[in-house]
Amino acid sequence: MTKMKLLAGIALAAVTAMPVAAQDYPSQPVQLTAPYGPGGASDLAARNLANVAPDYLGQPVLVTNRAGAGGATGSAYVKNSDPDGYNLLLARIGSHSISPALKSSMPYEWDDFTYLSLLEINPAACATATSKPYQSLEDLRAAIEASPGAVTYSSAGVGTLHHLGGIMLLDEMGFEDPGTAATHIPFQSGGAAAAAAATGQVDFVCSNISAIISQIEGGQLRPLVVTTPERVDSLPDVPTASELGHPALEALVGWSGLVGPPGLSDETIATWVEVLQEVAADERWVNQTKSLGSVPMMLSPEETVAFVENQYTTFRGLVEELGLQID
Amino acid sequence: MIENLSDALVLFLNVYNMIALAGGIAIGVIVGAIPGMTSTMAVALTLPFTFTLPPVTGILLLLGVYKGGVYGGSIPAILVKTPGTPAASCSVLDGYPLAQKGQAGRALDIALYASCFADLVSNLSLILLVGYLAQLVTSFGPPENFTLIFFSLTIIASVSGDSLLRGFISAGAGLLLATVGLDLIYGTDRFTFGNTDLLGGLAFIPLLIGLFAIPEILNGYAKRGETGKIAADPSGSRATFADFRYCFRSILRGSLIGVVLGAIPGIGGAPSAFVSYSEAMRRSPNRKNFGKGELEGVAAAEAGNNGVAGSTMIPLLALGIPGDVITAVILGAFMVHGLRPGPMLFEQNIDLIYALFIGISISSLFLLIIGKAAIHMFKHIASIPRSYLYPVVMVLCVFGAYAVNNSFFDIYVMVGFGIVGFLMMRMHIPSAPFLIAFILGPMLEDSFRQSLLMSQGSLTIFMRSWITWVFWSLTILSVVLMVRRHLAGRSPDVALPKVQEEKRDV
Repeated sequence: MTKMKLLAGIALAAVTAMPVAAQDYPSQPVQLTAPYGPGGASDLAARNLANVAPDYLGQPVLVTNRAGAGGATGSAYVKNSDPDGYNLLLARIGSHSISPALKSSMPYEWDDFTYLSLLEINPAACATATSKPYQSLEDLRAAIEASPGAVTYSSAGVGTLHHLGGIMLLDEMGFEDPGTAATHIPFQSGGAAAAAAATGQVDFVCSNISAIISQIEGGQLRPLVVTTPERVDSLPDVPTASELGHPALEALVGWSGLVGPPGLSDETIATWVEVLQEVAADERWVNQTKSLGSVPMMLSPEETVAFVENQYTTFRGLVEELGLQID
Repeated sequence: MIENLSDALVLFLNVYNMIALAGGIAIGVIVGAIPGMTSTMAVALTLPFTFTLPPVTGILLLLGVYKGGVYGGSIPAILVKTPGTPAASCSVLDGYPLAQKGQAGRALDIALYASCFADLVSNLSLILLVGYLAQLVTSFGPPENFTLIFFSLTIIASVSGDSLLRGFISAGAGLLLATVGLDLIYGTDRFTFGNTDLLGGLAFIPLLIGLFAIPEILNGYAKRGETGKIAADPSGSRATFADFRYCFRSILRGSLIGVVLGAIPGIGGAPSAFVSYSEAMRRSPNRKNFGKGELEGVAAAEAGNNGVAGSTMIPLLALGIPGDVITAVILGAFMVHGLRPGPMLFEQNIDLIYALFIGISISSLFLLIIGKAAIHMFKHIASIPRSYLYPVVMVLCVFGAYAVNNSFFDIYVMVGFGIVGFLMMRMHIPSAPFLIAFILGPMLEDSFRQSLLMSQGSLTIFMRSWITWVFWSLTILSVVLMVRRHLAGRSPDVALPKVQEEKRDV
């Protein structure tokens, strides 16, 4: 036990004693925390950035995964770390706009961070299994109306885009209590949620398109609506939310962003804005992001805050209106 | 078909693919052998290197790392009672006692042979039965998963050792601790006491290391004065063909269990290993020797966890559904190259699929060769005096617990469970039931609640398909057998298996 403590102590001392020269940032490798497990969208986005950014930053970017609690564990870790610019976070829609809007017991608020940039967005779609009879959003609405609570939708857990997507869709369809109109069935991951929908275990799923495009192209899932303002290139026959008269659904768009702990220095922010401009022009990063099914979208720190705030406010309004808050 | 095959051969047959596959397996074996470094992490860390490789080469590299990692976990499980990966935790039960008897080489050998054989069976199932097994996958929903997990829980009785009651106490504690963290359905905190570190639940690997490795080390220091050197048993330096033949039924059974459980999304290697182990034990005349150093136990466990290695690709390739984290990473690799697994891939890129299949078939052979070399290096660890070995293992344990999630909290979890494990050891409470309950508990709870949500509270959903009926029947059958055996165990005819056991040891 004493050996353990000693060991932990030495390691701790080594970490905290690292020289931090604020003047010439960055003078050591930057740690980028992905708050979800390896292989997920946030992990891939983080590794993609870490592959390209060092060329312009002059220091390596090391991705570490701190998964757990829907992104809260890793996010709280970065929020509480020193604002020296060496601990950054790959923020996601789930960890930074949905969960804070939905849960009162989060260890942070959405605006507890220094926003550096938005990196990419992930357009979403709602889809049903081709084995189900629903040919359109209207068919689905009629089925829900016919037997309240019997229609089911899958999600990657409470406070994910899938979850809020289902609620928003039901709200937009005009159901008074989206909590009971259809039944929410959470799964452990986005993959499992997509699988449950594709195999017809549940009636529909709202998900980022990249996670369900294989099943759509493979003929297992039938997309009913996309949440982008314009139709999506790869799904030209699928109507947009606005076309169907539900423009509010456009708030339903996944994103990844780069953030740091509160109180990052202006110099650090300026360094990253410069670096990210170069990254945005780098074909390697652009192509990689696109091939993972996302749309590259770099925004300035101010625009990023506005973007997240807008989304958070929309979701928070919905949560308050429908009394969905989780304590 | 022939044309496709020849195209595939052109795609596959180049030296880089061979290097990628062999190199991947070697990396996997080494990483898998380091406690705390799971095959998942190894695959995720390898992923960025595949961005610049051609698709077939990159994916074969990842598959190699995965397969190597699944096998590599058994090496420290057998040698130092520290499973390198969660899936290898079952191999500890008989592997470590064998190593203590001086038969480390034999245990490592049979683990390798069982792994390679199961890998081969799994790969062939992937290639030949992808369509059928994909059909099976689509009929598995939460109710089917629930009955499967419920049946799997009956294995707790098999690994409880002499006292069923102690086994149940252990399993109960495991179930209870598995509830810490976020509630899946409501998203509320459970038993977190406002602690952010507990929000994600107790991490599995620190708990695993704590429960197995630390008590062994503490116990070693408690028994000071012994030289701590294990006398090598000359007959135990390698497994013979007779050993393989003796274990063959369990290896084959374990492989098939692995194939089926691997194809179902979300189950994975650890449950498969435990189910295979418990089935082997149920059918073995040497039942009493399981847990005390039975070669067949090691073989069954390793066949079970490697049996998933090929079939886990079935839902990914056939349906585009990643069944677990590793296949999710591999899906990422496909997508980076602009390929989308699923039915369309078979239509548009069949040459690529065949090329992958050729590579996958060869991987079992590569695993055998590389594994053999690894055993040659690692097996001497068994003869290192414990006074030198334990400090090194301790450092690896701390590192491993930390590396999982880069969290100091996990080190405390490991130490805490080390003490719990030590107390359990002293009180003769087996730790395997704890572990199984901890793994299966959340799956059981989730599938149960998902099912009831789907049926709006009606229990009839658990009888909705032939699959649920099959698992209910199996559950009842195994409980009846267990009770009968338990009652029989109190009567004198238990001497019979003992005689056979002694015969085998000769």
